[in-house]
Amino acid sequence: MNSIEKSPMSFRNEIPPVWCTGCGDYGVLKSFTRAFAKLGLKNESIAIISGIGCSSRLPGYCAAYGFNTVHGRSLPIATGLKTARPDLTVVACGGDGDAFAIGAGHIPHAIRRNPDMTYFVMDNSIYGLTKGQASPTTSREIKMLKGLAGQEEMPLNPVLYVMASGAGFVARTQAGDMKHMTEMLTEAIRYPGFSFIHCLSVCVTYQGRVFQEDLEKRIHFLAPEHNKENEDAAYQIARNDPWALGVIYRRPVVAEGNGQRVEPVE
Amino acid sequence: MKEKQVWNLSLVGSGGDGVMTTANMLLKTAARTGLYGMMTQSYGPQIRGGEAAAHVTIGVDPVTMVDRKKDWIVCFRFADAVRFEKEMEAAKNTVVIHAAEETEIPAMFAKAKGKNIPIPFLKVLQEAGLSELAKNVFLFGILVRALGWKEEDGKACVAEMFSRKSSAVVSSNIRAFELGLHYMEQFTGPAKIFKPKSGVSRPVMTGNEACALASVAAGCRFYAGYPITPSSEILEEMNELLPKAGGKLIQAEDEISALGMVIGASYGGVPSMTATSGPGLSLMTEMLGLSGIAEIPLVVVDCQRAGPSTGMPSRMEQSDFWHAVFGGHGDFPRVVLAPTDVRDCYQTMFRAFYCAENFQLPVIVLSDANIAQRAEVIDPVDTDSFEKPKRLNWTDGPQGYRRFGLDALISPMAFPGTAGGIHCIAGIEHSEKGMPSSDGAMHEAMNQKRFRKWEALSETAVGWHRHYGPPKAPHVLIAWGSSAAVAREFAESHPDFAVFVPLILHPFPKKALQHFLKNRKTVSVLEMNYQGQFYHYLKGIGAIDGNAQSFKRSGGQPFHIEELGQMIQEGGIL
Repeated sequence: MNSIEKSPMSFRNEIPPVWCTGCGDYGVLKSFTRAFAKLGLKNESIAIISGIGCSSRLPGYCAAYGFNTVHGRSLPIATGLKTARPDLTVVACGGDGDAFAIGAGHIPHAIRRNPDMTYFVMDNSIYGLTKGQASPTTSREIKMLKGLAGQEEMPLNPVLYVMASGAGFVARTQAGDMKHMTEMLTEAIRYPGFSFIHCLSVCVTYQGRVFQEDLEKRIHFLAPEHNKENEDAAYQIARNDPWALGVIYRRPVVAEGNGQRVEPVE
Repeated sequence: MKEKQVWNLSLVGSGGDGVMTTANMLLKTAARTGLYGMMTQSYGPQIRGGEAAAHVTIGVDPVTMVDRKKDWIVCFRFADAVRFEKEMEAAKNTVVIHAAEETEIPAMFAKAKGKNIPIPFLKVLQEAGLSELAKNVFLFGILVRALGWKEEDGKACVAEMFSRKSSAVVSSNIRAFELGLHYMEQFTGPAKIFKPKSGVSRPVMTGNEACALASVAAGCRFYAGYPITPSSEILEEMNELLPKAGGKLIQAEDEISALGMVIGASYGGVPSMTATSGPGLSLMTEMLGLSGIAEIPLVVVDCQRAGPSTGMPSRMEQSDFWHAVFGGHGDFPRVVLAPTDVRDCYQTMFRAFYCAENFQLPVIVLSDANIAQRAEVIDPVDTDSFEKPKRLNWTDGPQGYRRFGLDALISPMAFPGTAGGIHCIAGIEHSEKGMPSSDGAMHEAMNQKRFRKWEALSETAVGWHRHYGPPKAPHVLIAWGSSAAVAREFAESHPDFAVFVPLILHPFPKKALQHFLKNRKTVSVLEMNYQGQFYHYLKGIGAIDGNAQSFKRSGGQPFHIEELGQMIQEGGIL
């Protein structure tokens, strides 16, 4: 690790993002660069693997190796890369459709394999790139309000899904809070195993102000007494508090340093 | 026509009878004594359990196919034998060995006038104080005696087969072997005496084993795959081989993921592959396109089985050809290779990695259920003369890095970790530096770039075909994959026929074929699928003309020589 912290800007390239003005993804991009700087990573040692969607454009704006793959497949490609090249820092990212619809089948298996990489999902509960269809996390209220398809279908609980798959590190953050996002990312990348970050975000174009105000009203940080190493407590949060931000679960690491490993799931 | 020195045997049993073990031991002993041989296996649709048949052909020269006419047939239950009626034919001299309890001889053995030897397997074993489980080794003793092989060669094979078991198991199996050996003496002398041309011991392996061994030898260091018949042995074999070679393997959750992982690892600079069968290739198709546009090397072995959908999982067919060549949306170059036998798998895998790594594109190897799972005694392979895979890697230079430079035939790859080579790639059409592009002219230029590699490859793949038969023979058969054997066999006994066997199917060696076809009278294409996929492909690219005939049928059983003779006759060629 470098003693002098690099500037976050050194992890940005010259390409201007194509996201809508006010999109939460700008903040996510900044947090990525801040976390990389904070961790003192070498640009060339980072590989960001995404799927397809607005948020999956993120690797294209980073001064790091990037691979904007195909819809729903960031995890297999990232897993293959990390397995073949354990020396790299691999971060997979994408949106809620990419993660929980087309790519959902890969999530439990990536978690079971527990590669030392981070999966960051920007969840705005909408398909933005295809202009506003419902995603697996869109609430029934919104679907009814907007007349979207699948009104009878229940939304999926991302955090409970990854908890149930046995993820060792599970956090939630929100795209409007760069400080918190950076903190979560830094901790997730440091975690020696598969880490998952659920990032609540707003699609300014297809979710709009009401959604944003609603989100801002509901979100809150986890209570300081929450014991993130307690799996039962984590399940409680996962099940009952979809707006809690922070590290929900962190499975204890047995040995730090080169012998780093995560306790096996029983 | 010189009579071939071969001996054809079929062993039929149910789960637990151990006929596959007996057949394996027979093949291994043949290999040990300097003989050649081939063994194919047949199962019902259930893959595991139920009736199974092993067909073994032993020969003085390399065996290219298993003959349908049998010298010997051994079955524990006639009911099982009847299920394989289409694969084995009793001839006039066929010897039938069966359990003594089975009395009603089925119609399929009506022609067998050789000898009918009922054996009370259970009784004989019980009287010797041996378990019924030793039935197959007892049978092995019978067969070793019938072939006039040396007792010690058979014993060595039994000892090797059970080497992982306790010494008690080994010694009781040796006893069962001896019992069989002596039991046979009362019925017959040696059925066939072979004189091997040399006493050289040769390796025995299946096509799947050969694919795995060759891949690791060619430099493959990452494998991801999903179990599917008839390719699973490649996954199992790679799981043994890769850790020893410093490689990695992942058993994926599905075939989409398997090929995704291969792309990830290959993007990381590591030569990578997967193996599958038709249903898996269908799922992998989206990743083939990604490999095409992002120019990431990968190798897929497709052990074809009868399709569509689940089809007939344990039965061969050559019906994935169109999918391999044309499957996927959009335009992208890919290479399709086809081994014709087990030994061929070696060079094919070297070539596959050569094409993938050197030209940065997806390569599909079309094996099939027959080559994949049959065992052959093969001559040792010398890989020194094979094409060597070598990826063009980028090392730091003064200019800005362009992953997809239009000025280069092959653009160097900078993989993650390479300082100064940072870039982003995508499944999206891109500029030279990898930036997303929606410009039609750029798309055209990039398509040209990607297909230029393919054209250059077709220029280097010279001699990736074989031919048999006299240069002036008026009739030509074109065949690929495991169907090539029957065409070759036919031509050996019909001097009016010559055979052309492409080992690379796409890009097709058109010039070589056209040269070969000069001054011939007829051309026919033999393949095992309903639509005549290869025939239509050859017509489409102008490699054959409208007068060419298509010899085809659905899969299930390998072609046999009489069948080809009939096709030729019906085609008015003979």
